[in-house]
Amino acid sequence: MEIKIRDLEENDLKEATDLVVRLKKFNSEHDPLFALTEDLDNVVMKYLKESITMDSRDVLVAEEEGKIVGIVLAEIVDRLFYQPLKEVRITELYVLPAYRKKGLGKRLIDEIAKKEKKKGCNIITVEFPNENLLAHKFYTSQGMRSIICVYGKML
Amino acid sequence: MIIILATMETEGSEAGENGARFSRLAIEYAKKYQGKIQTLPKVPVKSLNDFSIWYTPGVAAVSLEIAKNEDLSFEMTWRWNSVGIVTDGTRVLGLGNIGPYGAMAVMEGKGLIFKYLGGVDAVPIPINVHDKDEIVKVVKAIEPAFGGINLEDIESPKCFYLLEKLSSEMNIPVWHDDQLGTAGATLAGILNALKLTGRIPEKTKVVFFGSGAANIATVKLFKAAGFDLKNIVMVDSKGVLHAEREDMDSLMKNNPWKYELGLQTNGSNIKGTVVDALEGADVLIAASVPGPGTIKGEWIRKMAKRSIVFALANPVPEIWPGEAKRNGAEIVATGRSDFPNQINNSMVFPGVFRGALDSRTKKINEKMIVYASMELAKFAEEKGIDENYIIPDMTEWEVFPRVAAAIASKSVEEGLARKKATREEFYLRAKEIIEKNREIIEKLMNMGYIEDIGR
Repeated sequence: MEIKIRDLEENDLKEATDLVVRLKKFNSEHDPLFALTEDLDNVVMKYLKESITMDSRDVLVAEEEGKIVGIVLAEIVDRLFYQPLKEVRITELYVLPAYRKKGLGKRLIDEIAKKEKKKGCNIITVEFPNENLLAHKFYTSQGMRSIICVYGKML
Repeated sequence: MIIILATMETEGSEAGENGARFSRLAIEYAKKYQGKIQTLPKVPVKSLNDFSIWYTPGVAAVSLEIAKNEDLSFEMTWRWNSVGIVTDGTRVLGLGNIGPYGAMAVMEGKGLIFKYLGGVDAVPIPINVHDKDEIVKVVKAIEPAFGGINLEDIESPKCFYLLEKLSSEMNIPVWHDDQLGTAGATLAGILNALKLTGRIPEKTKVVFFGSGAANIATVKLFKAAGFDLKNIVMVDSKGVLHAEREDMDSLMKNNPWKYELGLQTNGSNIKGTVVDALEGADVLIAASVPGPGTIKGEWIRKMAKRSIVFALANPVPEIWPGEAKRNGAEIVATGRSDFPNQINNSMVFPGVFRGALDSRTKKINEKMIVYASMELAKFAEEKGIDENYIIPDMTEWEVFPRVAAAIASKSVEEGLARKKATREEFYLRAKEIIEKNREIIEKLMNMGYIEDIGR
């Protein structure tokens, strides 16, 4: 069965929301500062819906026979002080467990990179909870390295 | 053989009375005997001059020989027959995390069984260390002292990490009895239950109720024995395990072993509760929380005809055998000795270690365990299996050298043995060692050096 990667459409919103919610729940396990917002499902769905029409955000989904099995969300960030001036930042990448270890995560990254390169982005970054060791391992394997640290505490 | 199963009420109250009686006696005897095992010399000491050979200056020559070739430690010291029973006391029996001091009493009991059924010199080693990588360091550090390591009563999922890591990094066999012993005994019982009900492993649908260390290890062993993981469904307190269950990411992080099984099992992608899983299932293996009533009779009725139910929780099975049978189960096994078909890891580990030590094996792999389970099943089959006899019990001590020979000969076949011999030779050696140890214990009792219990 072939897995297609394409832009997010309105019809996908329910399934796509489920995948992003799974990722957010997983993030919340890594640090109490990622405690989940109330009404998470609706917030995620609204965010995804807006992304369909926004220029500065892109969402790609991986689809197998009508089923959404993976998703990548990216934002375009302007870099005022550094070069290159435009960056694509992956904020979410999720693949359903049964579809992992088949190169799908890499395909999603490659596709979003290709798409944003056309929009003038010459650097790709990704954000994830620092304690997510599996993510460190995965992105390192994709030739990326840690370039910025964000520290935090409750006020 | 006719065994009349008691009604539910009687089954329950008897269990309670026996439990209280055993507890009372155990405390009384623990105070009387102050420990269950001891070391004794195995060389003659006729005068103090003999120590010039057993100890200095003579012994230095032995040490030099071994220092030149470490494998000689198996030939010239007690290492060939010694096993360390290591625990951090985090999951002692059904008591939970009671710590290493309390665990000692259990480890001594284990040592006693090692000696009595397997002729193995097993040393209890409860350790005051709980971090998994620190435990790895401690166990690796004591490798020179032992021919094998038996991990015991260590919590899940830490126990999976330890078994995997230590097995791959040590040159002596590492065993975790709560995983492998239980898995081996369960497989042996199931193999015979399948024969009796006309099934083959490849096509048998199995539901595992409870996803702790024992059941996870059993699923892995079943795979090695030819079961198709797609026909296996695991169920835990959150319901049926499947690839899209909400907590799969959490499992990936915290219990990757269970996560992998979540991906590989449940080929029909069943979702829901245990009741959904049991629809048409051939076998139910429960290792969950003590019953009665953990498993309901009506659930058993959902299973295929001639179903097989293993309710292994202790001290009270998830469902009483009588109730399971009244609801259609043909063969029922429990963890208890007062019902037929006791699934008991004591049927596995003494023979396994006897064979592992006699072949000086570097590892005990899954193939070897499957082979041992098959031998255990075959022993019962030769005597004549029926619904109330699918696995030998502890009184049939002749089975232990058979299991030992199976393990040892498979170790040779797998290229893991330091010492090679035929299966027959391994059998005779194991039999001789086990018989001799039993005789020694009997003589010590007859002569009063092991004091009579006074009942």
